[in-house]
Amino acid sequence: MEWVNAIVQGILLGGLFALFATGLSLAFGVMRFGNLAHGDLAILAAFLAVSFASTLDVNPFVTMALVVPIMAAGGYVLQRFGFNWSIGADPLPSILVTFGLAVVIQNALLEQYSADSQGLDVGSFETRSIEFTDDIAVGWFPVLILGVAVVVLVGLQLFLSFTRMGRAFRATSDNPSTARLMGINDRNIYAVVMAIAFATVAVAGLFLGIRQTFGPTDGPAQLIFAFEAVVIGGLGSLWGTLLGGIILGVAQTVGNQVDVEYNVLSGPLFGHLIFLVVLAVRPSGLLGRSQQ
Amino acid sequence: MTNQQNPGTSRREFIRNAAVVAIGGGLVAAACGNDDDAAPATATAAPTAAPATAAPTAAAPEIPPIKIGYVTPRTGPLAPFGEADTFVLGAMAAALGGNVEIADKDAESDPAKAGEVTAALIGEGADIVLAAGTPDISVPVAAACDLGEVPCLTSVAPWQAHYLGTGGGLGPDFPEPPVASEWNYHFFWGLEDIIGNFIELWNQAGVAKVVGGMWPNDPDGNAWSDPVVGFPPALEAAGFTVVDVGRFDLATQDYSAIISQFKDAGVEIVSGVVPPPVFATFQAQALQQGFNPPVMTMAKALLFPSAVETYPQGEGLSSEVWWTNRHPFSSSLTGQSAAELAAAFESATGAQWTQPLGFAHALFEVAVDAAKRAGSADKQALINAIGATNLDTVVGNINFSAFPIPNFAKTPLVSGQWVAGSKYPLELAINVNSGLPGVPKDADIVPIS
Repeated sequence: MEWVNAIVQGILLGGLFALFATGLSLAFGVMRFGNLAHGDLAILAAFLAVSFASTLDVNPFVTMALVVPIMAAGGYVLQRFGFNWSIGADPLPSILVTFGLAVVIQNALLEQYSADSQGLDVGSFETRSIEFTDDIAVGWFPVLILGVAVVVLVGLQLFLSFTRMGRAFRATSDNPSTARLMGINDRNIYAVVMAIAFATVAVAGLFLGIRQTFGPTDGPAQLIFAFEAVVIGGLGSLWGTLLGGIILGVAQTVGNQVDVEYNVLSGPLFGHLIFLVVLAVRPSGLLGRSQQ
Repeated sequence: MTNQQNPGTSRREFIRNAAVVAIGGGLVAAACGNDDDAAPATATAAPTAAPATAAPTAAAPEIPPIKIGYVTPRTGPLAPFGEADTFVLGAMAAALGGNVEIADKDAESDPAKAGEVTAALIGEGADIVLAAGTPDISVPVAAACDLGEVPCLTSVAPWQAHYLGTGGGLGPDFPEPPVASEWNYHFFWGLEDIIGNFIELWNQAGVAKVVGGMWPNDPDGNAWSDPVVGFPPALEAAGFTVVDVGRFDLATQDYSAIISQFKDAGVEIVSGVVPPPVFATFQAQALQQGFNPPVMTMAKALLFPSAVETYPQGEGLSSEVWWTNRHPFSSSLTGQSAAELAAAFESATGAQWTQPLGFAHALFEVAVDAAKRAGSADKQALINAIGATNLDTVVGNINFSAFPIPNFAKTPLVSGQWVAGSKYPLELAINVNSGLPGVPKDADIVPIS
């Protein structure tokens, strides 16, 4: 039974990983843009929520109404007037630029908030659960995270498949210069993509902040999980990202069940192993489009 | 990437603190010049100190010019260990006079940073370095001082964890233990004290004797779970069943494996030694999964009112207690009793007294006492004077020759539980006082229902 519980908890944890990976997956899928500051952006969003929650004296869930639009606007502006210059055939400039951004965010947070651990308190909701058997209890909050992750990923997939804007995303992704000939402003498309990416990572950051405590330098650890979820699931495939996140989550909880002693390795280790195996056997990921 | 912390900040901080010391010293010096009498000067410069404070300072021999470095975790997961520092440093700057310069640095709860700032303090000419706040801080500071051959006084880490961490061995050498670190002296209690306290506490509780152990992979966790001197053998000898989850990593985000292991084994007592943020996450997930044991006795995480109040369920948690405002001791520096010191802290900060207050104060007591006896800031004279310490401080008598392990001294330990208080939301009730009968016992521990 405890194995069933480990898998159930892992699937729920995977929801958070998938939500983290969404923005990364989208940005990579549409513009081949690897954002190394992705994890730090999540932490930044969580810190913003801490500030709003304490100054406005509201529930952290309410701060989402402020933090998500602010992050989205920030993503749009940053892409439109910054990152767009680094997009091209060579992936190196974007990696360098976002690496720099990551360092800036970490140190700015350290300067502003100190190295203290922060948490977002949502009261008893965080500890409420549904008990199925003595061994298996499912918390409402992890269920909410997984639910939001599924809604966000399904919503984005539908958006890409069925809307005009979504078609423009795909067209730009396939061939930016042809898309430009058809009257699509690719620079604007990129900025909108980044706005969506920032919005999703803000949601992920808030959930992380409610789930556990966080400090200014916790971003890079989140980035690794996000990257692995994207690669396992398949570059550019949103369904794959959901699957990748869940596989990582299950690997971590089942790894802990095997032996918590080595969980600095074992939880993440199983995740890393799966990541390497996928990379070796199926470089385009489980559900990835094969690259030509 | 994470540790290239702005030297600018710490330099600014240092200059600011140095300025505070200089101004404080200036005040005292000016007052001295006017009255030719140190006593009123100390009293004016230390408005927070109790009136009785001046006499011992005036009677004692002069403190030689000395620069004291002070390293504690002021920010990060261990920040509650440094909560009393601003108050203590302010009071010390005011009480010690112009000969003493204090430079304090934040270890940011990071062992690497602790070593780094200690080296920086030594580079800035610190004659003695004081450090406190878990072996994660005390060990790297002691190591850096050993390297720089600077006297170092540490506390707030069980002696075994500090001793093992600084290179001492508890194996076959034990009857004649080696000196772990020539330039470091350490005072605190030991695992034998906390194990005795916890066993007595749990016997009061009347719950199933099944203990779930959360000893992580860090210097404390490794010492506390040691198969010879740690909790598991002692608990088994006392008739408890131990469910040890192993040396888990503190970066773990998911405790469901640990929780289900505890549930399966019928654990009714959860114990261990984890930092406050880790306990917060663990307790939230445990409650989420329907696990709410009647006794939770944790070291480190449950010491501080500021931390316990933030947990999903703080009332009823229990912990070891190293110092209270009811300890029957008083300061050799200011004459304040433990109660007066705690009251001065509460009125100056508006916050509830916290255990590190006594030990931060005592570190300065021992350092100043040694400096007076050494008569100069000469490092060899200082370390010899520290070694010869036999001083009644606000945390009890500190005598480095009274304990079998060289360079260590022990202070007494009691245990208590957080209960709804009259003045503050949660206050410590003392349940076990056999380590120091001078602290009144309030009640037996009440299991969490």
